[in-house]
Order: sequence, then structure tokens, then C-alpha cells
Amino acid sequence: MTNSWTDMDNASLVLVWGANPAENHPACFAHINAARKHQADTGNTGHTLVVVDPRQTRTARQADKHIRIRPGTDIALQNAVIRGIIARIEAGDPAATKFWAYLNQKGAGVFHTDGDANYPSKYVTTVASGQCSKYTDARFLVNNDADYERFTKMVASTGAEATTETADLVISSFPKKSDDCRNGNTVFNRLKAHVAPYTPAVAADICGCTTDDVDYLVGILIANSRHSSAGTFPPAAGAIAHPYGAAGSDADPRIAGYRCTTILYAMGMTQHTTGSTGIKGFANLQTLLGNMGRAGGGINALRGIHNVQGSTDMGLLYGNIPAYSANPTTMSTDASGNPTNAFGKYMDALWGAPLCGTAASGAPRNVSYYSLNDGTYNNAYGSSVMDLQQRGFYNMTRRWFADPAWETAVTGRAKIDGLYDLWPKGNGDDHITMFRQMAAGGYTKAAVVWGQNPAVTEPNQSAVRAGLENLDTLVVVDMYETETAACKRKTDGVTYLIPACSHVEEAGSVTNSARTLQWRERATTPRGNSKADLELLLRLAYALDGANAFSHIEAEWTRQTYSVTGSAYDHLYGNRFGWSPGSGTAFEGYTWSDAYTQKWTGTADAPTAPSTVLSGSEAVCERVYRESMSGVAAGGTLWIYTGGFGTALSGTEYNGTWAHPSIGEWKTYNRAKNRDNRDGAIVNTYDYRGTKAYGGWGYSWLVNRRVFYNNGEIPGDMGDWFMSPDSVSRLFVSTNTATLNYSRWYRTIHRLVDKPDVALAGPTTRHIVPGRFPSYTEPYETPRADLAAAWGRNTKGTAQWDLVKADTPIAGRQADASLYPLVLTTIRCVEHFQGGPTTRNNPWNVEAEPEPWIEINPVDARANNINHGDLVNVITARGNSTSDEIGRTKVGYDSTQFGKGFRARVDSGITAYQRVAPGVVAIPWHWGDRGLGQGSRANDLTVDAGDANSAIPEYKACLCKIQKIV
Amino acid sequence: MASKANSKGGKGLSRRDFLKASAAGAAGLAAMDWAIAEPALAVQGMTEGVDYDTYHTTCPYCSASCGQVVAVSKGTQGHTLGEVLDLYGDADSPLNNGGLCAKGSGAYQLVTNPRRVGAFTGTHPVNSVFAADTTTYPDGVAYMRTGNGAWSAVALDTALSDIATRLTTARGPLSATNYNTKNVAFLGCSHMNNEQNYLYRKLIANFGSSNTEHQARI
Repeated sequence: MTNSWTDMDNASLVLVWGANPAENHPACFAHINAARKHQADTGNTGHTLVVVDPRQTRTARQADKHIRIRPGTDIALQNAVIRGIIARIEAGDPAATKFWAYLNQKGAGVFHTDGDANYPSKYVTTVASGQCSKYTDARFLVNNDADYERFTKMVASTGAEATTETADLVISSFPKKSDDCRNGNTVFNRLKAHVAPYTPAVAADICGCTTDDVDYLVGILIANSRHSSAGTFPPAAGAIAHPYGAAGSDADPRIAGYRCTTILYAMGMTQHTTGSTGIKGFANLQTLLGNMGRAGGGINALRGIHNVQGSTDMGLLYGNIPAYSANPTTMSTDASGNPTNAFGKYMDALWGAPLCGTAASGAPRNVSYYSLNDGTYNNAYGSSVMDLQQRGFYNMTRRWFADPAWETAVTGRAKIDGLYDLWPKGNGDDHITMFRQMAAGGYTKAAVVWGQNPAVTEPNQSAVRAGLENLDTLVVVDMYETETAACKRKTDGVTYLIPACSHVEEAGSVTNSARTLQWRERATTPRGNSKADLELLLRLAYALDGANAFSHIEAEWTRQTYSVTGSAYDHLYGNRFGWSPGSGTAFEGYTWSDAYTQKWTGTADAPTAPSTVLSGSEAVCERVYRESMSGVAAGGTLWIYTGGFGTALSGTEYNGTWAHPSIGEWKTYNRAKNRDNRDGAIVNTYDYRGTKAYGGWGYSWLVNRRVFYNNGEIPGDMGDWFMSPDSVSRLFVSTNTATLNYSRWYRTIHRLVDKPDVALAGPTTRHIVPGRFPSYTEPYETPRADLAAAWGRNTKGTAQWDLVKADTPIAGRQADASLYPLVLTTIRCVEHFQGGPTTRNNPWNVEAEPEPWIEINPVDARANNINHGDLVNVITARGNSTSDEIGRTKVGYDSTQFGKGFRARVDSGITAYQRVAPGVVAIPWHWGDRGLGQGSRANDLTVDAGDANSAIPEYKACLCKIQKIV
Repeated sequence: MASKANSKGGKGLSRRDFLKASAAGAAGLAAMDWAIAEPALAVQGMTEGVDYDTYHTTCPYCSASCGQVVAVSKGTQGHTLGEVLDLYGDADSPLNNGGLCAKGSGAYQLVTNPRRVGAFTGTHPVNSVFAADTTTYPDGVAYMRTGNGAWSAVALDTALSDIATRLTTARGPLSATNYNTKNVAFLGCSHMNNEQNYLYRKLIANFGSSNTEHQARI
């Protein structure tokens, strides 16, 4: 989420697109209601909640307007809306003046530049105002639709192409711009051309909505944008360096007539082959509307699991290590023993100013604390010159692979390279490939499944179940005997189930969807034989050490001649976090305290109980928290969380980069424990009250920011150049990695690898700039072959699995619309959660929602002679069996009659109102065959095609048919 | 299929409160109204600080991260020390102002659920092997089955030792050319706290693998 949950209260329009917060995020819906109440109380009589969704969800039933679209056609509607906005602005809408002023806004900027192989510019260059864009890349010129047109080397003060290099005037790779985004081959004009084919009529045909729906969205979005808001624009000069916008500016949500749209989305938007692209579409929409970085605006992913943001941040993904650094790929020496400079090259690819480079054009110049070197990459090893992500990775390398006592000695090229080589090189397998590997009898022979239930949650279950069955060793850590723990196994396969404790029995920090850290106290010790995850992890590490799993690490220590006296466990874990399984002290009995262990109760600046003695997971978690969340200059490993633990605000805390206070209430030490719930305060004479930022509650990355991309204009947040001139909100997607060279800070993001699988060229064809702006494509399985032929499907990923890579359908995996005429989409309900073990075992939840159901339209019901309450089977091309994995007959149903499918009763939706449109079938996916409440497993049916960028499966659209069970 | 609920449940939240929360959450009422279950321990003559202490946590379901308060017995009035007596919304949290939805309200049953494996003594409703037995297994337990055979209990350290050997054997020796094993899959967890995830990811890296995934896409 760019904005926070509480910040939604500031919105004048909430656009819910592909989410159902009334059921899946009820607390969010309370904030939506707060926003609507505020609007009503302040005289806004317009619509305040609009829902775009294939289903008439419970959120949609609360909305002022529900626009129903066909599953998977979101981007066509987005582009039609963008087209309509541009047309209406060009026709002279009252918002036009600010619209153009916003897109063309200029500003001076200070850049971290690294040049390129030919022109290694200096570290910091100040560029004159006219050369910089403040908000967007709309006026950037585009070169061959692949990249921005750029200066080879530019005179920073004038914006002219430089003929010679001088020490302080040249910046290389800087984008060229038109003075006005309407003139020339600009990003704006390319976008305008790209969306031109998406007329209201075309969108209505694709999406199954009306042309009036398109016009309605155009109108209400313009009316609830920065360009229609009260308040002055542009903000007063100097606002960027100031903690909030000038009085009366349109960046202050407290002024009368403030207008802003927040877009809320969830899996309804992302679980498609176009998942990432559609989110880029939202970003473009909000950028054009001026709603990025504004209170009550932004694009907000309503994430589904309490710590899914945190586990993503911690790098539990096949392509990441913690804090969004890529997996290292190359050893420091090649097969011949020659240096590869791998560490230096890796560091240079991280977010921050480059440490090294090749000075092909003269000596390093005008560089205060780093220098380009001669290609040895020796400069990569000096921690004092590292920037945030680099320093975090450097710290992590030393803290993950060495004893704390050695840290002062682990410096310099030879030793750092030695530890760097201990990082696994390259990526793992994505989740689809993992199970396919197992099923095929490939290299994956064992799996540790910690708190997941893939035997319910993964798509196309036949491959998943065959994979689990094939494993030699399956270890499940959970609170319940899940479907995964109980799955069918091969004769000699060994399965372990280790009892975990509940969330109230273990301490630790959690990061919510809005990036806000909160602390969980250990309310009681783990019940019975169950154990804290932290204890289990440390005991597993201890056992792995006993099996010599870390001998490769010990060999490196020996090579570096450290005093390796204890076990590898102690060097890696025990000496850092205080507890060792072999110590004779039980985990829950371990205690620890220092001056900074604390308890918070309210708004005071000092903790109410400093030096509190912590025990068990409270103690160990506190120590892990400090290692990871401290400022990187103090040794913290997670640069995005830098400052989550600290003693004071200072330049060194943030490595000199960000030193402004956010909202004042930062408190000290473990900031996840902050519990100041005031709605702002007066800090340093600035009045932050009423901004809905709640900066004293927990701590948000980055640097306690509650609204991202703010241009220094948002009250309650801080001014800096996180989005400064030319580090702008980009409408244009470039896959050219050199694009962002002039501003390294943004290099590693903003690439999408997917594009339509139809090659259509020329100015009159539909995908005029494929891959550069979001393009609508049909879902992988579709009943509209005509649209798939004309607009393509999104199957061109570079990191895709076989199904999607293949140009031709794989037998048995892709459906024929003549056999499977309906579209299946999967849904959720308020009473149950994800794969089900944490709710389907609770009597209250099971009583409220005992079994799954099927939603179909009366048209399809009548065609199949189905009435309310009838038992119906839903079938797709996936060849799964819903017979119980250990041979039981499914309760209440005859599993011999139907070898595959999803059997449930058709529920309300048949006659009372129409939850789904004709041709669409919706089923919930929480159920399986374990637990107190059991039922058919929706993911037996779903397709494992997915998005090339994120490996998210297309759970929301595949083909199916229905059969009434007589 | 679904047996009727045993609604004895939480000492504070009643089944009626829960059903109200379920309906209100779905209907999307204002936070102030949706499901604030007043701490009812006082009604039972219990006093905070004497009979129970309260702790702060966050809801274990969606990522709105509503604040929750946990009331834990101090061992008086027939309850055992450390027993969770109640779990309700944290009125101090600006994220939920004390409200909880059907899932969050039901978290009391998640915590105190007799169906949890290895957590509570007495008759286990699913499988008697899952009853807690801290006498036989004072330092933890694991359950093991071979093929599709029945579960049996083993001491946790014995299990972890066997698991460690199995994982290390599956991995094989690491070398400069085999520095990322995909022979073991480590499925992670959005249900764990940050520190646990951080240590899990470190353990996977120490083991010599980047073959990990969590639930980011469901």
C-alpha cells in the first residue's frame, strides 16, 4: 500500500476494484465508512464508494455504483477510462488547467548519478529547474518506444548537450524533455496513442459493461482528483525541503473541498496473467489524476495475511534475499581462480550510489567520498561509503555467516569475498515449478512446509498432490493436522507434523499491508507440547549443525583463521541471539534485558517501564529485531526498516540520507512497540493534528512514512526527495536497464517482462506500444476466442513455467470453450481464511459458514435445470479427483459418480439477486478434507497459468462447465 | 459435515456476539458498531492485575492488523496460570478502534481450540495421539508417519535430528559449482512474525539454498 489504512479516511472517493473489503478486510471497510461519513458531514453529496467487480460482492451492495465487468478484462476498462480522461481534459474540462500544470510541472533537483561505461559522471549533480520534472515523466521524450531519449552528456545548468566534460557540469544518460507534454514524441502522447483504440464501445464489448459505465468512471475520477480539489497549486516554493505543504495547498486533506480518490485492490485484480500489468494501470491512472503521494489517494493492495508484507520483506521468495535484494549469482572467483569482482558488481546493482565503475574517460572527478576506480572493484569493501541497500547487504553478509565476535575483523576484500561466497548463488524454483519438480520425480526430494497448506491453496491440485506424494521427506509445522500434513504419501515417504503455537503465545513484530510494524507481546507460553516458531527454528538449526549441514561455512572460517572453538550453531545463532538448545536452559526460561528493553503504554516520549526483563520469545525476538531493524550505519541488515530500532534521530541513523522527523512521535528504541494513538500532534511548531497518519502507532518503512511518493507536500509526513524532481512517477515502462542510469536509485524497479502474445505492429493496431503501457489481453482460458485472437493473451514471460511458455496448448491443461462454456472464478468469505486450517477448526466460524457453495446466474441455472439448493458439480479441464487422498469417500457425496469436480449446493444468487453475471460461476476456495468443516477443494479446478512478473496464478478466471447432481 | 458449534467458548465474547460480528462485518457497519465485545471478565468478578493480566497482540488473519487484547489468567478462581480467558479488539488501536470481524472475533477459538495438535491434554477430538503429553515428552514432541500409516509421537529432538539428517542427505555436499541446492523446498510462512521469518530465511541461506516460497500469491 502506498498509503495507510487510517489515511483512507481522507479520501473523497473510494474506488474498490477487484477487492471485497466488506468480507475480506472488514477493518478497511470501517475506514471507508469513516471517509464517507466525513464527506457527507462536509457537504459532499456526490458518490463516495464505487466498486468494479465481476461479482456483486457485499462491498458492491454497499456502494453508490457497482460496475460489473467480465473476469480478466480490467485493463481494457482502465485504458478506456484513461482515454476518456484525456479526451475530456482536452475538451476543456474545468480540471484541465491543473491537469496540464501538474504534468508539466518543473523543479530543480539534486541527483545521484553514476553515468555509464563511457561517461562516469560525478556522484551528486544539481540540475537546473527547467531540466527537471517534478511529478511525472509525461513530458519525457521517447526513443523508438523502447526507452527515453537521453543526453549522452548534458550540461546540468542549461540542459544542452555537452561537447566536453567538465568537473561539475556534466550529467549523463539524462532524459530529454519537451517543454510541454502535448508537444513532440512524449510519453504523454505515446500513452494517448496507446489508449486511443479503447473507445467506450470497444471497452463495453470486451468488459461486458456499458459505455455509460466508462463515462461515469471518467467523470467521477476527474471530479475526485487533485486537479479538481480545492487548495492552491503548485505548492509554494521550497515545499520539498519543508515538512508539509504551504497553508491552503491542495496537499492538505484538512481543507474544505479537498478531493482525492483512493484505489483499493486485492487478489481480484492480481490473480490474472496480467496481474502486475493491471496494477501498473492503476499507477498510471492515479499519476494522471495527481493522486499519487496525496493523503486519501494512492494505490493500495489489501494484502491477505497478517504478515504477508513482512514475510515478503524477509525474502521468503525464490528470487530474493531479505529487503528486496536479488539472490547473488556469481562466486567471487571463476573456475580458474581468477577474480570475478562479483561482490563489487553485486553491490553496484543495489539501490544507492555506485561504489565502483570503470573510468574509461579520465580520472575520477569532484567526488567527495567515493571514487570510480580502475576496474578492480576494491572500493566495494569500504562500509563508510556504502548507501542504504548496499550497507544492509554488507551487514547481512557478515551477520549471517560469521560470529559477532569476529565482526571487527571481518573487513577487507579477501574476508568479505569469502563470506559472500557462502550465499547460495542463483534463484530457487517458483512455487509452481517446485511442485511440478516433485511430481516429476525431479531433484526436489524433501520439503519443509512451515505454516502453509499448499494441498488446499496451490492451483491445479493434481500436480501439487502428486508432488507431495513423491517426496522422501515432508515436514509440516502447524497448529492443526492440515490437508498437507495428512496428504497421500508414497509407501516409504516419511512425514513429520510438528505442533506450533498460536499467535498469542509468541512475541515478535508483524508488518501490515500498510508497511506498519506492530509488536506482538507473548501473552502466555506455548500451550502443552506446542513450541514457538523461534524455538523450533533454533532447534532445527542446532540439529542441522549436528548433521554437519554447515560444514561448508566452518571450512571458510578455518580458511580465514578465526578462532572456531564452539559449534557452528553458536557462532551463527547462539552467540547472536542468546539461546542455545544445548545450554540446559529451556527456551521459554531464557531471560535478557538491557537499558533499552521497554514497555510502552501511551503517548509519553519515554517508555513506561525501561529495562524490563524479557523472557523466551520476547527476549530472543528483541535481539533478532535489533540486528535487523537498526539503522544500517549501526549494523542493521534490513535497509528498508532502517530506524525501526534506534536511540535517537540523527544523520548517522539513516546514513545521512533521511534525517527529517516524520510526524514527531518516533519515540525511541524498539519502535514496533510504539502505542501513541493520537491523530497527530504539534511538533516543532508544526500542527499535524487531524491528518489521520497516526505516526506514533508502530513504525512504518521507509522511515516511518505513512504516505509514499509525497513530494514533500503531505502534512504528517516528511519532505525529502524520495520522489523528487525526475525521480518521478513513471507512466512509461522501459525494459532497457540503462534507462535509469542517471538515477541509480530507481534502477532495479519498474520493469515488466510480460506482453501480449500477438504481434501487431503499426500505428492503427491495437497494442500500439506493447509492453510499454498496460495492454489488455484475454485470460489464458477464455470463451471469447475472437478477443483472444485480436488482442492476444499474456503468455510471454521470461520466468514462466511450461504451461505458459508453450505457444501451443498442452493437452489436458487448456480447455476448449465448446466443452467448458462458463468462466470460473474463486472467491472468499468473511468467516474463513485462506486454506482454512485456522478457521475451519473453530466451531463458531464453521457454524456461521459450514460448507462451500456455488454462485451461478439464473440464466445458466435455468439452462441446466438447476434450482436453489440443488447439488451441482463444477468441472474444468484439470484432471483432479476429489476423492479423499487416503481413500475415504467424501462425506455426503458419492465420489464414484463424479471422478472430478467441485461439488456443492447452489446458494442464494439464483433468484433473489444476481451475484454473478450470465456465463460466470463463482466458488469459495477455503475448504478441504480436514478440520471441523470440510468441503470440496476449489483449487482442484483452477489453472496454473500465471503472471510472468510475479508467478501469481490465474485463480480468477478459467473455463468450466456445471452439471446438476441428480 | 459441520457439527453444531460448541459455543461455550470465550469468557468475554459470547456466541451471540460472534454471530453479530459475522453479520456486521459482512454488512460493513461503522467501526464503532461492528463488533466490540466488552471485556466481560469483570462481570464474573475478576479484576485485572489480580485475576488476570492483559497483553497486546495483532489479529492473525488479514493484513489490516487489527489490535487485539489477550486476557490471561493469573491462576485464580479455578483457572490455571497462563490460561487464555478472553481475546477481544484493542480499543486503543487506530486501525480498528476496538472492533473485530468474524475471523478476528473467532481468534479466541483459534487459540483455545482442543483440535490443536499437541497443545492440550485430555481427549483429543481428532486423534488421541495429538493430545499433549508433557510428562512423556517434557522437551517437545513431533508426530511421524511412514507412507500412509498412522501417526506416532516421537520426542522433538529425536525428530529434529532425523529431519536434519534427511535434509542434509537430500542436499548432498555443497561445492563451488553446487552452491544453491534445490533438492529441498522450504515453504515459508506469512503466519510467522518478522523475526521468525528472518531467521528462517537465514537458516535456508546457511543451509545453502534459495529454494523458498511463501503465501504472497494466495
